[in-house]
Parts: sequence; C-alpha cells; structure tokens
Amino acid sequence: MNDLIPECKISGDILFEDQNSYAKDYDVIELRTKIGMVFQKPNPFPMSIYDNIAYGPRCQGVKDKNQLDQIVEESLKRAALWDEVKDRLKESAMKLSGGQQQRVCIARAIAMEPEVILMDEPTSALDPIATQRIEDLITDLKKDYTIIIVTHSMQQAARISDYTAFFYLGELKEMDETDVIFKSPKLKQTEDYITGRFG
Amino acid sequence: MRERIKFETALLQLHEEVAQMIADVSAQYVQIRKALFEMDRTLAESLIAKDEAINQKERSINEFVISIIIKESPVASDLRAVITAMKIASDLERIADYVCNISKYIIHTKVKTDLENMFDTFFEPLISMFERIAQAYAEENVELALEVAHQDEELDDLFDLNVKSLINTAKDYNDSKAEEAARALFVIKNLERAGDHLTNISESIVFLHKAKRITLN
Repeated sequence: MNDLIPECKISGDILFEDQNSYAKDYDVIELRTKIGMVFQKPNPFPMSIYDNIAYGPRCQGVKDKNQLDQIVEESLKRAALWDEVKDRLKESAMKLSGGQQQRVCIARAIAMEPEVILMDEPTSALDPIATQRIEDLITDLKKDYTIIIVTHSMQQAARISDYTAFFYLGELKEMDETDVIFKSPKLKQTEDYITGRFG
Repeated sequence: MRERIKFETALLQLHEEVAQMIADVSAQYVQIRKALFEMDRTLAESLIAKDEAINQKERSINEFVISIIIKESPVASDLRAVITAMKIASDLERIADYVCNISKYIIHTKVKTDLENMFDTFFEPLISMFERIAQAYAEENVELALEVAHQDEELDDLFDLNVKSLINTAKDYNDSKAEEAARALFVIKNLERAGDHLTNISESIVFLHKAKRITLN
C-alpha cells in the first residue's frame, strides 16, 4: 500500500529466508503465500464463511471442489472453529461473533499453508473468553508455524510466547527467551517498560 | 519517568511491613536472651503471648502480596519484591516460633541450671545477625546480607562445640543432669535453626536485588 504514497520512504531490510523482501525483483505475491497476516480488528471478507477460507487457495488456482472442501474443513478445524460453523458454511462470515470472526481470519491465513503467521494485536478487540480461545489456538498452532505476535499486553506476551522482543521507537532494544525478559531483563529500559514505569 | 503511583505506594508499604516484622522478631530475641539468662518464667510467658501477633503479621503480609499480584500483575524486580516479602515473612514466623519453644523450656525447667552463660554465647552472633539483616533489607545492601550468612557459621560452630559438651555431661552425670542436658540441646538447636532461617533471609535479599538464587552456608 505504501507504493501508492509518492513521498513514502523505506529504509532497512526485512529478510525472509535470507532474501530482502524490499528488493525490487522480490516476488511479493509468493511472499504473501508464505506469510499470513491477522489484524487487530477481525476483518473477514463480506462473503460466506466457506468463501473466506477458499479465497486464497482459489487465487492460487485451486479449482477442484473436493480439494477446496477439504482445505476449508481442515483450516477451520485447525482454527478451532469447525464445530461451531460446519452447518452454516454458506452464511456470511460477518454474522459471526468477534471471536469467531477472528478465528475465520486465522483459518483464512492457515488455508495458504504459510510458514509464518503475523498477528497484530489479535485479541485487543475481543472479550476475555474469546481472547482465551485465541491464545489456546496460538499455543497449538505454534507447533507447526512460526507466529510473530505484536501485543501491548505484557501478560499475553508472558503467557504465550517463547521469545520476546522489546522494540522502542522502531528499534529493537532487547530480545531473549520470554522467561528471561519477564524475570530479569538485561536493560533497565526493558525493565521499566515491562513493569509499567515508562510508556 | 516513574508511573504507577498506587503500585509504588503499595510496594513501599509492603517493604515497611516486612521491615517492621524483622524488628518485632528481633525484639523477641533480645527479650528471650534476658529470660533465658535469668530463667524468668513471667517474661517467657509474655513472649509466648506475643507470638500470635507475629503469626498475624505473616498472614497479613501474605494477604497483601496476593492483593498486589491480583491488582498489579508484577513482573521482574517488582515480582521479586513481592515474592521475597512473602518468603522473608515465612522465615521470620518460623524464627519467632523458636522463641516460644525456648520460653516453654524456661517455664518447665524447675531446677536451677548453670547453663545460662553457655546459652548467652549464642546470642552475640544471633543479635548481630538480626541487626545486619534489618539494615541489609532496609538499605538494599547485598554485601551486608552476605556477611550475615558468614556469621551463621559462627553460630554453627558454637552449636557443634556445645552439643559435644552437653552429650558428655549427659554421659557423666546422674539422671537429672542428663535430662537437663537433653533439654538444653533443644534450646541450642532452636537457636542454631534461627541462624539458618536468617541465612535464608540473606539469600532472599540477594535474590531480590541481583535476580540470582544462591545458597549460602
């Protein structure tokens, strides 16, 4: 989207599998099949639950109905949503609750069989029970996918992540095993941030 | 920039309550020293009566810590502050129990013994350990906390020495002397254990400020 803004400047590299994704000849379409994204506010497409999940694979050229059915079922099962929606796959995803919509978005990301899933504050718009379900889901999914989650909830970071990185004004300040960060971080700045002494 | 004023205030209050409990238990040892030297039963009884207030203090510190954990979700140094407050309170409660045990010894010893000077030697290092623990906790002084652990060795040596002498007394003399020696063994064992718990508190102070678990002595 930054491509549409003439004065937008980008510096630095984002490396994925040793390739700089900002390089001119980099295939971003291919990149998007490998890295899935889940946003802060659930954003299902205004279409049926089924079509939400099938959208990506269809774009990739999957036409076979049986194969699509299978991808949809598998993805919804992995997103712990199948039992709740299996009888209403043709209904609009917009009718689901916030927590269910977010799981549709996660299922949609999983349908592409990505290697990495980026989650930007995936539970900030959800109630505690829906949050709990998403966190359980993340804990389960991290066995198969690399999940990078941005969260402002220190408790959530401590609960579900294996590694925690502290960024301040765009710079990586400290990264370590989550236990180390929350028990005895090396930098005072990190300590002040996680203990809420500095915003 | 320091924020979370309420949380800071709660941590400060917790620190003060633990410091007060150290002072209360320390005062019990000053008194039990006197009671033991003079075999003063009335004083011994009053020390047993005071123990309930110390037990209550431990419970109130535990409750306070639980409420801080619920409300403030402490992490890192804040988490260490609340966890060590609870651990130190538990050690102090145990240290205070020994005063009750020794008080009971005083109350139940009917005959005059000549052990008061021996008992008194234990209090030199013990009272000094209390003073240093109080200062180390108040001033966040890790070096001083480590010194307390070294002093405990002095107490252990005293214990080993006097155990031998009391066993010899028990062997050499008649039944009443043997009983007296056996009962005195409990007293010095309690004083020695008090030193061990003070060493635990030293370890807690080191953990609080250095985030490292160490075993002293």
